[in-house]
Amino acid sequence: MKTILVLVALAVTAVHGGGKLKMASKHLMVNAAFGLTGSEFEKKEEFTILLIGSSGRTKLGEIKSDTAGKFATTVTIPAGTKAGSYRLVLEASDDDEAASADVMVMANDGMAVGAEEHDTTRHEAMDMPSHEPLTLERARSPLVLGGALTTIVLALVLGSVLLRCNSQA
Amino acid sequence: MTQSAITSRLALDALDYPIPARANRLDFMLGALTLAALVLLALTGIVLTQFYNPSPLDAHASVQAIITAMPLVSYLRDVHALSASASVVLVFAHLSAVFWRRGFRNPREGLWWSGVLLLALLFGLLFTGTVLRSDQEAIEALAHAIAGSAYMGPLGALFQPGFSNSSPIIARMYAMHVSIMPILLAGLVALHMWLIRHLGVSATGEARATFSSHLRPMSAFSLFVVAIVAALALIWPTSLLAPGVAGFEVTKPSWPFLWIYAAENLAGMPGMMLAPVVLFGFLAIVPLTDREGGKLAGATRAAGATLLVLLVAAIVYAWVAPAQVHLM
Ligand code: HEM
Repeated sequence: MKTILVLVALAVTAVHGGGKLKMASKHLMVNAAFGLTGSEFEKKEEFTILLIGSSGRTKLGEIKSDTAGKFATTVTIPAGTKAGSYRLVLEASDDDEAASADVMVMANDGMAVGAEEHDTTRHEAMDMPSHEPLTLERARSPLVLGGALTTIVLALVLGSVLLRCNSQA
Repeated sequence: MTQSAITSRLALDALDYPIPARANRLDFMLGALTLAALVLLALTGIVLTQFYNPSPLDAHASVQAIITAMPLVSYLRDVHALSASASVVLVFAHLSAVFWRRGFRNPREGLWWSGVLLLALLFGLLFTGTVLRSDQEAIEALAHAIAGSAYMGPLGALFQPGFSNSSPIIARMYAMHVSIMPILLAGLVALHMWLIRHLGVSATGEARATFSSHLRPMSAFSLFVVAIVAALALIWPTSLLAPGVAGFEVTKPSWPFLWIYAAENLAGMPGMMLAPVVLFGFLAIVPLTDREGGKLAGATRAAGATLLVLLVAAIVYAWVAPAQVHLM
């Protein structure tokens, strides 16, 4: 099983009811529990803990704040989670985001270090950052090309005619 | 309906007011050409709003879908990006021409300052537009804004992640890009035009022409701008990087921001914060330091020329310099 690290990229600021979210560690392993604590939330409120990334939403668990608006729980990043950047979101029962943190899931195989050490050829598999433009199959249509060329020629011709009229006036 | 009937019903005679004949030269049309690029920007932007999705999870995918599945929208996106570059080139050409002919002097100080605000808004639009792509460059641009805004007190609050509890930052940037900033820009352009109409331009010479005769070469050059941008968009389609991964710096900003990037390379975060302050601070004081018969007129002109050279040199330097990590 691939070991994955979670790196908390930004300081966590909570929102719903002024609550604060804290993670026990900045480096978390997949399939290993990590501590998640919250404070200053609404009292006795239920939340869903979600991991949201480009591949969709994964429910990590549910939690209820106590009479002091606090909670402490342990959460596990499921096996098979693709490495990359995610948001850890605490969703209230009214579907509002109560708190969130930008996190990064990375493989623990030497990739979880400085940007200069990234092997960009593994980008697709690892969601690693890259400065290279995506090689996308651009949609093309002869109609659009023809339209663009016609617009260009018309603009040039009309512009020249206007200039000529101006110099004759 | 005859031409004269149309003219009278649309009150087009009002355009026959006198202007200096010299204003028919290209260096007095650079402002109008900037406006032409802005109109192109607005028209293509309106189309893009129908296909771009500003939600954090779907933004990048929607841009990717535009590029790969919608030939016309994809081309208009390329035109949008290139007209943004064209407006920056043209606005700096306009600003430099006005600066050199001292078009900011009494009574046109307010006209100059409205221009300075227009320039700031243009950079705001460029920044928010970059963020919308949600790719690596966008994430890094946002991270820089968040880091920089921490130094800006209440002014930087908008860029703080905790500013709004209910709306993600990309949705807020979208609102700024498609409504708040364009509305402000339109208002400022209207003010700029009002002042030009009533104060006139600073062209010298006794010879007169009418504004309606000025419209002909102005439209001709505007059409050339459209043709050049449309052609460049075919040759140079705008790219998209992979979805952004937070916490890394591997890209450089787009070229209009490279002078700020150069300053950050040299002096870190203070450099990044200081470079725009120097440029906009200088532009703001120009009408105060360069007055008719004033002692600082020559120095202001020399400082302006030096700043322009530095700006271009910084862009070239940052273009060739390898990408650097600043925030970690
Ligand atoms: C969005 C950008 C802008 C637009 C659409 C615009 C448009 C125009 C137009 C159409 C004119 C009439 C004559 C000419 O083109 O020279 C003009 C004049 C002028 N503009 Fe702008 N402008 C813009 C930005 C700026 C900036 C950034 C500045 C200065 C910082 C500026 C300062 C002036 C001044 C002082 C004049 C009067 C020039 C003179 O009388 O010699 N404008 N502008």
